[in-house]
Amino acid sequence: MSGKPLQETRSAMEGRRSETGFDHDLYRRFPTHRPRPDGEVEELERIWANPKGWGLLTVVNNNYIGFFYVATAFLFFLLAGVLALGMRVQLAAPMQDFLPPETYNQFFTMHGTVMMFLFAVPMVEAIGIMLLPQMLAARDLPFPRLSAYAFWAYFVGGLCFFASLFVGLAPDGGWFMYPPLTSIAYSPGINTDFWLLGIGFIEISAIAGAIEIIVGVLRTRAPGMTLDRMPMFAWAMLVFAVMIVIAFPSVILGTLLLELERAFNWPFFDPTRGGDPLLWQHLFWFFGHPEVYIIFLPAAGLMSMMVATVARTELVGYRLNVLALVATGFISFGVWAHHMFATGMPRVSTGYFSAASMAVSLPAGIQVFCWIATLASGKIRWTTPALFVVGSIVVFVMGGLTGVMVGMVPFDWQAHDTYFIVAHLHYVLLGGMVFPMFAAFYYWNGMTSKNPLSERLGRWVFWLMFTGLHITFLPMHLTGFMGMPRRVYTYLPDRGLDLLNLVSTMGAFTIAAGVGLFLIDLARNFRFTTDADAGNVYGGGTLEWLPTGMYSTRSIPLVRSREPLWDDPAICADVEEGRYFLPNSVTGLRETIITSPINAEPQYLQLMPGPSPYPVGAAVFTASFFLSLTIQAYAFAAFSGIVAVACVLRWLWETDRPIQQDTADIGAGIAVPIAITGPSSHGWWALNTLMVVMGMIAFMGLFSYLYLFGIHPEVWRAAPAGAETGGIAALLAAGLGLARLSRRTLASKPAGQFPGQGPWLLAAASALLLAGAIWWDWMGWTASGLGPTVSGQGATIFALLAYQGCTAAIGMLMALYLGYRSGKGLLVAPDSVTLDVVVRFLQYAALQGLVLALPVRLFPGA
Amino acid sequence: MSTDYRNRTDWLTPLLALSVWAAHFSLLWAASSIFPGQLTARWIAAALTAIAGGIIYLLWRQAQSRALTSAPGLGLAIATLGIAFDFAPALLA
Repeated sequence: MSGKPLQETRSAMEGRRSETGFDHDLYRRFPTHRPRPDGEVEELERIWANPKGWGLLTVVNNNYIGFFYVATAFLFFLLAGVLALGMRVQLAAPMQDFLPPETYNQFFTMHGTVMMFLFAVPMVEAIGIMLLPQMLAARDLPFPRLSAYAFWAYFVGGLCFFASLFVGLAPDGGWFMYPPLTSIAYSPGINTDFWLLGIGFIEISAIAGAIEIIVGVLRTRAPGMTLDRMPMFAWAMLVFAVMIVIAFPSVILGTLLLELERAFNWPFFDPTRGGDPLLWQHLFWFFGHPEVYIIFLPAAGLMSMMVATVARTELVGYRLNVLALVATGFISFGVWAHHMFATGMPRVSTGYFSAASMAVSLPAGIQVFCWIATLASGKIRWTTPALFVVGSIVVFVMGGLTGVMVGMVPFDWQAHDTYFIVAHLHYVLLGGMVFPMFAAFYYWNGMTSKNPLSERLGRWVFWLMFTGLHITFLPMHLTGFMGMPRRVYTYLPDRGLDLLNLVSTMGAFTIAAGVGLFLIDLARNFRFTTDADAGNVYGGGTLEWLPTGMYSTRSIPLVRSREPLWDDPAICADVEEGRYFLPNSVTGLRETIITSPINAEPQYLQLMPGPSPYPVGAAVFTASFFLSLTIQAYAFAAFSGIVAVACVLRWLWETDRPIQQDTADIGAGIAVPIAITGPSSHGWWALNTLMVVMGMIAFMGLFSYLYLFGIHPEVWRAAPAGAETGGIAALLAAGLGLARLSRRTLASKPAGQFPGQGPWLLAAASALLLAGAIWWDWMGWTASGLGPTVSGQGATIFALLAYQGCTAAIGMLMALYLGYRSGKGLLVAPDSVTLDVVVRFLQYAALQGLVLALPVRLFPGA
Repeated sequence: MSTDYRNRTDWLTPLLALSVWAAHFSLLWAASSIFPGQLTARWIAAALTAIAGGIIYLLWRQAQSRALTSAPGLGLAIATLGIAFDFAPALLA
């Protein structure tokens, strides 16, 4: 680890018990005192420079991608807001004909879908990509090209998806798309397909971003930034990303199943053939309710950071607040069926979900009390962010209290599907996410703009939005109590609803006026920059307020507290003068330090990729793939899919670059390795996270199988013969073994030597065995007389087979890619990042095959 | 500012406690769905609650800090309350 011999100090002895064996005494060398050589900053600027003009399409740096992302998400916020205004005009008076019923259906569906899928989740992910590298003092997040891909897929796909509204093909079944309304019998047009396939790329984009954030937060923190010293926003983004990884697979599976039913008549949700529409509700809400917390938690992280600055004191109850975030993440997965109280679930089951719905208010309450205590213990400076922060707490608490009300089963039965729910969810989402977002816009504007936003206009923006919110949504509690249902395009006069609806409409335009004023402020004052920014206008104490350029900070500081800028005012100058880690580029390439996940001890130097056209190419063709499927242009969809995969492989080609240099001095004589494999590498963490996503899809698939058996056991058929099952298991086990052997073969060769074609051929053989197993499995079920259109059992089994088939196909593709690299002499003993990734994916695929094949074949119900 | 560069908070105990809550909740729901309206589901709930309570107790015994204002203490408290909340419907509904 060190360029100098390690002395047997107390810290060194403790170091043995440290996370990586790193000697903490080495930290005493910082800040360094020797003057840095000339030209280091200029070299950093050259290495991290971005292309201009059309070249901006190829940028991958978080300063640009984060900004593009935030701007696009805000655009979708505005577009969905315009749809809301359209609906409010329609409802301003009874029996209006401003919007025809069909258009109104498309408006409320698109409003909900765009706000949830194209605004809320992407916005918090965007803010994360923009802020996290600076907050953690990393040069960038660990997979910048993945960030770029996530953004462009979202941008291109989102705009195409929204454009469906202009040709009358927008989805119209509500943002949660319940079958049988959305089944082919009742929704024969392609509007529903636009939703089901259209959000496919958004799901991919969200998961790509989540993987980036998990690895980024856990592995690229500045040295010394232990878990205890992580900014609250980083904690919140970590929980957020883990929740995405757990929750999104459920909706991915749900949308795939519903599309399979619509396109190929596989009866997952058709009760006449052993399916069940409630399966969709379980799959959707297992994602849908955590989604609310997925949106809220990052905003809560932003709030926790801003509230400390606003009150000019440390956050009260830092650890309790972190725990509250984690507990909210956990318990939010136990509340999904409170959206289904009216479906006739068993009474005790509804009780469990009701209890969990109340339990989740405990951690949310802890956070609110921490914020209030912080505000009470400090001295509030009533700036615009402060107004939005306090307003957010008020609004969120109001929404939370009505949430506890609807968590009670008898109350929910009365209020279900009425405007009371509309009022509740808007209070929660506006208070829990939109207000913190506006506070963050003002607070962090100084990081990206030459000028700060106007405080005077900001106060107007706040008060217009705050009063408008109450004028709009407070009356909806009453209209709901009076029985006005959601999603109905009009109402009859003289039912006592006229005035309340008119008031709500006036309130909606008041909010719009606030947002309009914000746009004027942006136009007048916001000027994007990556270096000459307005700076730390509100006096925050965390690392994102260090002087930065495209390369983030000049040197990567040693973190000794939670608010380093408050506790050590000299840190800014020291960082800028290069007195900390990595004050230069050691390899002449883009690079950052990878640290350990708990104590943030330096582990190795990661070489980072630069601008590339391939992420944007892959993103455009990913979006094109899904949209072509929607309009049933299958040939073009296949073409788009192939091009997208080719672009991904091409971008990956450059990311595993063997270089001559083995170690690098990252400052003060501390030497670390360059690019490693295995559990210490960031790639290992990313692949494992992806495996969790894939595993969750498989798990939810098995859940669907068992759920349908529980509802319709009468249609279940016996599995094929046991000997066949044994053969399939043997093939998969052999595939697992060959993949393992491939890595061993590479490791057994002398270091730096080309290992021959053996390793990749073993990997390819492993992939072939996986393909053989899936073929045998498929043929076995077909021979038993079961088909995917026969029953819910057949549909779920063949869906699982198809999923495993796709996994095996990806494994095959990866093995061929490995072979191509090997042919080019890029596979070098004793370890290779590419081979490590391919082999571990194949091993995962084999295990997934076993987990999917055996239960359905051995399940006693069959 | 501190020169201690090691994480000093026991995050593992609250994570395990909340995992116990998650397992308890999932199994209770599964039992109530497999045996709807039957006494069996309630007995299973009682047994699972006893097991979960026992694990929480063990975690509490081993926790670095048991104060309610510490991360392990609060995590254990939230998990215990959650488990108690979840069991209530099996008794009352």
